[in-house]
Amino acid sequence: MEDKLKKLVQMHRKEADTLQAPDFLWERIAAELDQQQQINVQPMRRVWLKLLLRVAAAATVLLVAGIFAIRQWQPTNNTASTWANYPELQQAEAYFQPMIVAKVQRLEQIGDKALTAALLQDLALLEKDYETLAKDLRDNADNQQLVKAMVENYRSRLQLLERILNEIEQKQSNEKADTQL
Amino acid sequence: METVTADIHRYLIERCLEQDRKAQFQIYKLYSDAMYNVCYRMLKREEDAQDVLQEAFVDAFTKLHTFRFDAAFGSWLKRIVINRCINVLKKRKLLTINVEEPKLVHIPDDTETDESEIEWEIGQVRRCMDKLPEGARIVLNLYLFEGYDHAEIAEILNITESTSKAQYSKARKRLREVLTKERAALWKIS
Repeated sequence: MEDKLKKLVQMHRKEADTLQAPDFLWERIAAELDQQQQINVQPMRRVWLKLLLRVAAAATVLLVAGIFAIRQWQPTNNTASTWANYPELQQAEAYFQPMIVAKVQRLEQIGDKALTAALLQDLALLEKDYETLAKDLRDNADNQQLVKAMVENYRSRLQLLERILNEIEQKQSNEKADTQL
Repeated sequence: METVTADIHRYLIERCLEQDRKAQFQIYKLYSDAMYNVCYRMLKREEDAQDVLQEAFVDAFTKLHTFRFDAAFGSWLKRIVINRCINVLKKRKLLTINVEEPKLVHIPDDTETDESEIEWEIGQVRRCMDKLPEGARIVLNLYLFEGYDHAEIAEILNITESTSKAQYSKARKRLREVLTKERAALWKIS
């Protein structure tokens, strides 16, 4: 199936390209490419602007959240104002808190690492219980049972520390006596 | 040949990807004349040919990252040019390709027609092609001059391969008629 026409055109194919692209065309192309590049740069700038706006928005949110958190935090930290209606609780806090801190420090000095870590974990659990009770007390005002439980919680923590410290000290003094003998 | 050309231009193309204007100019110099002729054959108007050539090169340089080196750069570029030409023709609304296949019409095989008395002459072919309706002219041009096969033409014009074949056959017949008429007229004058 020979196509004479196709064959003829193929033979003269090179002769068909007689025209030359006008010289000014390249300038037009280059100008348009320059323009395109500028358009491409602009979205990049837009991206940066968007990013900047997002960072600014995030910073604002963090700032507001921070202020809010501090405001929320202050009353809970400021126990005097929170527990103003519960003098027994205020007293218990003033009594137990420094003692517990002192005992923990002592434990860290004399206790071995594993024991101290285990004990601190137990104390943390008790502290958590205390926080739950404190929250309940704030939510349901004037509940004497809660106040009692909170005071008891302090006492438990102190007792736990004292018992362990006693045992450690006992053990150490025994060891001392042994070496002296 | 094609792969060699592709390799030769690879360096230039890679520099074009980095928006190197000099490399882009070199590519333009290599292909602009051939592509301008393609445009002109398709559109038959200098202004339109220039516009399309400009658009096609800008288009090619901006989407050069989609060129995969699996084909020759020239064929890739030519497809961009051809597609843009088709768009212009569609806008002119002169390009109407009959999408329906002529089912009952017998498509004459090239071997069946007696062409012994017809001596195709290239200058005449080109001149007579311009006298054909746009659809026939485009199919003839894509097949004869731009070297696309019917599968490719089908893709370009969004028609089926058999429609492309039928359209070509019809266009070819009409060309022969125009050619015979012209010759007869010439005969009378002389």
